[in-house]
Amino acid sequence: MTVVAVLSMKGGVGKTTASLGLASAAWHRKLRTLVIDLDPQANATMSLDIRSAPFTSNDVLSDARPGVAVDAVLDSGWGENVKVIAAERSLENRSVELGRNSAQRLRTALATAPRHYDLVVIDCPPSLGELTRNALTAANQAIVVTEPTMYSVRGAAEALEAVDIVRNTTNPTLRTTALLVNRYRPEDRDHRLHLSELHQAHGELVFAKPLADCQGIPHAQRAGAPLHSWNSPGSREAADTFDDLLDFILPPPPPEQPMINIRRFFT
Amino acid sequence: MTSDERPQLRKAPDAGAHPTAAARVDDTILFGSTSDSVIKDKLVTLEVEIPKSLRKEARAQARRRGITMDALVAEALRARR
Repeated sequence: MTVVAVLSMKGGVGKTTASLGLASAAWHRKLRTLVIDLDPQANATMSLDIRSAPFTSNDVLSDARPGVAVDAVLDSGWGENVKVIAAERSLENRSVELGRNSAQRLRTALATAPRHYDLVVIDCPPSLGELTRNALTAANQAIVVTEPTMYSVRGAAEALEAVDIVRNTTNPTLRTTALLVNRYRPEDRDHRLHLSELHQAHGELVFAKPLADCQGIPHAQRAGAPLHSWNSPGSREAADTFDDLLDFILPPPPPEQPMINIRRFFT
Repeated sequence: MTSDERPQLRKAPDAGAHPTAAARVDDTILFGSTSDSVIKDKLVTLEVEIPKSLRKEARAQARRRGITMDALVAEALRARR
């Protein structure tokens, strides 16, 4: 059971792109996937082709009784394997602390629901407040998304610190899986410089394949379609990166049973 | 957990309200003071007959303040305690 929170302190760096890219890679492999949209902008909800939602993540966090999140799970427009808990703008009202155990509300509401999925992706808002704290408390992995620009590099460091804080307070099982660099242009000198800074500061944590700046991603998002169904050279390259990222976060398949050497019994 | 064992999800009292609405409803009215009180304080249905003009006025007020009718009535009743 992999529950991954995708976060960044800075807006517009590609959290939703990364969340949808992972969901698309899982869709391509026919994995049972749940996307939880915790961003009041509800962009992931829109790109997963949700027209109306009787219940949203706002209701889930407001109610927060054990197991209630199941009622908010919707079929996405991507097919039966990809489900969604949609977001809405009033989710912003949940970004403040709500009493004792405020950070545990999502985890409590989800209860055992994540066990029914191969992958749960939580798309966080561009802040490190209560919504992100809930996401990190419910997750077992965190992916920080950044761009190779000065402000984004600083935002990534803040997000990594937030993961450490949650690990030390509400969720000791949480681990930082990767720092994904988005919209990388290798021909840009500044991008190369900031990528090198990220490597120096965070070492192995920086995911080996940065995500290139490509038009196919927003086109697929606008069409409400998985990236892996989009046929352009740029989008195929981005889909490859998300395939690798999915391999990186999913547990390795169980080792195959050793074959019995039949010949041994007859010699 | 089966659907018989778990409680049914309820709409947030401020669902649909714009977060920048002039007066946000006090969270203690909606949720009580702690998350525990959300679990303990059960919501029930109150059915009353009131003049249509009063309902119209209340709806307008709730819309203006960006809160639901439920929250508005709860707030009024609490204020009279």
